[in-house]
Parts: sequence; structure tokens; C-alpha cells
Amino acid sequence: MPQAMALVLDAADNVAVALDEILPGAELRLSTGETISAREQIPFAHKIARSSIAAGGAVLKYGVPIAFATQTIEAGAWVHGHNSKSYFVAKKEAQAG
Amino acid sequence: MSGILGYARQGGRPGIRNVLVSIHTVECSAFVSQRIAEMDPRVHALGFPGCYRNEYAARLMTALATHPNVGAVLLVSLGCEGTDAGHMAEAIRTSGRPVEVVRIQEAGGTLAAIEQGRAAAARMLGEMDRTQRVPMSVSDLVVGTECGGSDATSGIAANPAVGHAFDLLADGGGTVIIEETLEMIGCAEIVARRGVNGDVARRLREAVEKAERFSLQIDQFSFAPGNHEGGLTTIEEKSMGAFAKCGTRPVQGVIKVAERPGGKGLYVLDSVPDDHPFLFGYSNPNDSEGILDLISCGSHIVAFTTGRGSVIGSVISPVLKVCGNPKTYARMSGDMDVNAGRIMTGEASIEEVGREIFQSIVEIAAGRLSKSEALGHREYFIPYKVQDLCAEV
Repeated sequence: MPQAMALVLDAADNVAVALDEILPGAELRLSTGETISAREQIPFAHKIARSSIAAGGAVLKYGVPIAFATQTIEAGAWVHGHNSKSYFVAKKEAQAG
Repeated sequence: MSGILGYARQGGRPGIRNVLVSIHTVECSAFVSQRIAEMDPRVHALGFPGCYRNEYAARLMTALATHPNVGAVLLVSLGCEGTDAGHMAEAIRTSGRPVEVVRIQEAGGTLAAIEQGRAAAARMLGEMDRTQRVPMSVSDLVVGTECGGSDATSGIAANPAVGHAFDLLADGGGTVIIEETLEMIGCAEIVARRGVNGDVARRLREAVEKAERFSLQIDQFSFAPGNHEGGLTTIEEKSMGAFAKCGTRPVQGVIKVAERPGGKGLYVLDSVPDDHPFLFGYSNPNDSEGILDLISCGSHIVAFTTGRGSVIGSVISPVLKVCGNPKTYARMSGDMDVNAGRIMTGEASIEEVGREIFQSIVEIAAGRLSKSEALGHREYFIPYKVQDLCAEV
């Protein structure tokens, strides 16, 4: 089995989890067999976009929405707090006014 | 063939172990109970430290005393505490198990109580040796899951691998239980959608929303800076990483502590204290409590996932350790049963490790000792708590 460098936890996911520190420009092999080019540095255990995600669109991991994109996220980009946000926290903030 | 030869229990599910529990009904009798337990490795000591009566703790101890893996019960009482050992003994006797009560004040102090307790335990161990053995299959098993000492690998290696093993168990007709509604925060709707019908979906939503109120009230809402550095972006993501332990099958029901699942398949255990007129109650203080809660619901085995490393086991039921961090596994392999770190290094898939966990569960059910069991770990923890049974609401 070839070394998978990023793990896709559910077939429906639009992110994969880096199993190593990923350098910008690296060609990454996903556990599904597809390859993707990293647009930037991705730390160990962080998420890389498997496909592009429109602003406001759901970030899917484990086959479910775990965040929404706060800006357009390109395929191969690092997905974290700078470009995505918790639905739960956004809802609490809206309730608090 | 599973090769599991269980212990027959009158009117109940068979066990995979045959232990005698020595239960102290207040901290004042814990020393005597522990000294009695030293007589034989088949005697497991556990108990409740509180003097004031707590309905929850009494119910939990009775559920543990009538667990499938338990063959006989010794209750060790001081004589003036709130928990009524005589009343508890009656409930245990109706399960068909031998039960005896030692009251330290009546017996005449430490040495007399230890002597009386050991004589009673020896008689009951003799009876237990004659327990009828019965073949068991995967469909007779109840398996719980819990995590502790988690790190960035937990949600991507050990937890999904246990989840795959849980799918295999559920598909084989077994019963599986996930605890930790506190770790489903932010995911009430996602978790509710896993309910097998509208009623279960409502109960799941209510249980997770109660956990959210609880965590906000006691300021235990946990999304630590370390989680963010470790690659977790949101509370939903953290929660789903913990929820991955239960696999992908529909949730058949919600149960409370000391309640047995009503059928087969996947159940969610709500161990969070209920809203109380005066105070919410107590937090889930440590991993040993979660494990014991799962056992009180009938778990024969508990699959425990870790990343940073944990060494605990439990009284009554074997704990199987699944470690998702390859470095931790290398350092603490004497405590770990399954190396899910191979997912992290690309040496194995989630499904491969899941099948290995399933196989380990079957082997442990057939008598192989888990690592923590062989090391002699016997942890337990019973706090004060207020909780109504699901069957009552």
C-alpha cells in the first residue's frame, strides 16, 4: 500500500486530514487514491480542501458539516479558523445579539 | 464460530467473566472491603464513598452487582450510612445471585468483619465455580466505548477504527453503546438525524441540548487552544471526532446510567446529570466514571481510545485500549491492545484496524485477558449525581 499522506474520513468530505507536515506545492496522495497539489503549508493533522468550497458553503468532514466557509476556499488550500467558522458559535453569537 | 463460552445467568444475558464484587456502601467500610478482596483475584472491590443516601448511586451499585460478568455479591456496610445494604441485597437476590451482607458495627470491628466477609466470599466463590457454561455469539455481546487522553490522532485514527468495529458488531446482531453526550456539543441536529425514528431523534436532541446547557453552566465548554493548534477548527469538528467511535449505524435508543439497552444495535448513553431545582449536579469527573457507567448498562467489554496515553482498566469488565498515536503506542505498548497508529503512518486503513478491534473483542470475550486486565487494573468511580431513568420520562 502506498504511503497515504492525507486521510479522507468519508467519501462525501470536501476536506482531507494531513498525516504529515505538508509543504507548499507538494503533490499529495489521498487515502482515496486521488492526488492533489497543496497550495500552501498544511500542519500535521490539519485539513486541506479536496475541492473548492464557495463562501458560505459547508466544510464536510465525517460526511457532515463541521463548519462553513467564510470566504472562497480553493482546492489544495489549508482549511482552518482563518477561512471557516463554527455554525454553533455563529448561532450563539446571533442569539447574544 | 465465535468460540465464546459464557457464564449462564438466571433470567438474564450470559457473562464473559465470573467475578465476585465486594461493594462498600460508604467510604468508612472501603478498607474492610478491600482487605476482603485481597483473598482472591476473582474478587473485585468497588463502592460509593458518600454517607448521605443518593438514589442514583444505589441504583448504579445494584446494576453493577447484577451485571452479566458478576456471579456473586458481598455488601460491606459500616451500619449507619444512608445506603440501605439490606434493601440492596434483596434486589440482588431476585436476580438469582448469591449475596451476603457484612455489617462492621455488628460484626465487632475491622478484624471480625474481614474474617466474616472472607468466609462468606469463600462460600460464594465455591458456588460460582459450579456456574453453567453456555456458548455465546457476537449477538449476545454488549460493548461500550469511551475515550481519554485524546490528541490530534484520536478523531482520525483510533475513533473511526473503533467506529468500524462497532458497525461490524451491530451488523452481527450485537449491542453497542457510546457515552459522552458532553462530547456531542454543537452537533445536536447531526446526532438527532442518526435516530432510527422521530422519537429517538427527539431524545437525542434533548440529551445533547442538556449537555450543552450543562457545559455552559459549569463552564466546562471545552474547546481548548491546544485543540485549535492540533488542527480542529470548530467544536462541531471536535465533537464529530469523538462521535466517530460509534460508527455509522442508526441509533436505536437513548439510555441513562444503570439502564440496559432494550434491543440490539447502537445506543447512546446519557450520563450527564439531569437539571435539578437547586443545582445541576456534578460533572463527569474522570474516565473511570464513564467506563463504569457503560458497564452499569451491561457492557461486557469497553473499547477505550487514546492518543496521549492512558493506563486505566476497570472492575467487572475488561477494557480494550486502542491507541491512535504511533509514538505513544511505541512508548506504552505494554498498556495498549491495538495500534491504530498504523492509520497515521499509512500502514493500515481504518477498516483494517476496525476489523482487528472486532477480532480482539471476540478473543477477549472468549477469555483472553486485555492488557489492563492482565496488569491487574481495577479502577472504578461512583460520584453523587441526580438522574431520572429514561424509562421514567
